[in-house]
Amino acid sequence: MTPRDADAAMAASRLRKAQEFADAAEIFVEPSGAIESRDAFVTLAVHAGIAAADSICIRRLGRYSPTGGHADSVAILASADAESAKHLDRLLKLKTKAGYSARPVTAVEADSALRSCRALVERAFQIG
Amino acid sequence: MKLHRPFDVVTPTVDGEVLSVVARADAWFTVPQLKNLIGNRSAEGIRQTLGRLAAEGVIDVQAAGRTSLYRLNRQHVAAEAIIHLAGLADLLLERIRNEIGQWEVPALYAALFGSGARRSMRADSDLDLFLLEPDRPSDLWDSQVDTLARHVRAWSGNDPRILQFTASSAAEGAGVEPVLQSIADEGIPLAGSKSEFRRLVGAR
Repeated sequence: MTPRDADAAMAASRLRKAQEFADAAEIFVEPSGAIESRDAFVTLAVHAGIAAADSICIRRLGRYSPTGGHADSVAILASADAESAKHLDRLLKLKTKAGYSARPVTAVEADSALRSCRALVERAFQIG
Repeated sequence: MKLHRPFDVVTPTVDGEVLSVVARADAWFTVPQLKNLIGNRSAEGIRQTLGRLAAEGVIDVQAAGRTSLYRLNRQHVAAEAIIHLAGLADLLLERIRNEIGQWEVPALYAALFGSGARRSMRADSDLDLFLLEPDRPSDLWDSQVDTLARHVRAWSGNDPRILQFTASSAAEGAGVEPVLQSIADEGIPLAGSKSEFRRLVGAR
């Protein structure tokens, strides 16, 4: 899928949504660090990660992957910020299991999603 | 130093702005895309700069139909230095994180905020830093902060403006102190958990 050009306003909008999704995901994180309702949590974390990735891509490349398809999204993010691409890849690998499968996300998978979500959103804020 | 325009430390020209964009992403760009990302330069000025840099071998050029695509030649001997300059903001923040991370009296949370976080600095802008300090700060804490301020000034050329709140005063200021909301919304974390800070000040 051809990347879509986007401007600073779109980057800011995607960053706001990234924070909104991340805030919603963090509601499921107990003070102890345990994560409740792991499938709902991971689904929100994935959306936060996708929005953060879009913001990073727009800031660095002036374009982003509009479909959210795994391979395209990771590839374009890798050209914008290689370290962030690893985190997006981890999140997208959990998207189907968390959102559409009968099998629940494991605690280890949820922890991984939390780390990647936080890393992506923070990186998006740092890049601007 | 302007964190969002690192090349201005050596050149305030279009060259620096073009190099900053192509260094930070491993991708091909058209002139309109570069103009969109740079923001305040003409397409012709960017095109001329690209031509000059291509003549120096620093920029690769590829024809794509009727247009041309440009990217940094990452094999050029100058590429490493160019990429390093483009990453000065990240380097500065990494140094600040490393220093705060080694404090004997840990910061509960720390963040860059203000014009530095909003990408709107001037060369003489202060660097706004937020520190969430223990409820009973000590001489050691003050000494740590003073040393950090000295280092930040030396590393960046900007005067640090350090805003400190204790955890309890930040919690009391939740929903009342606009600066805390601003830090929670747009601050770039330097230590501690942003999500916990946002929870503390009622930002979510």
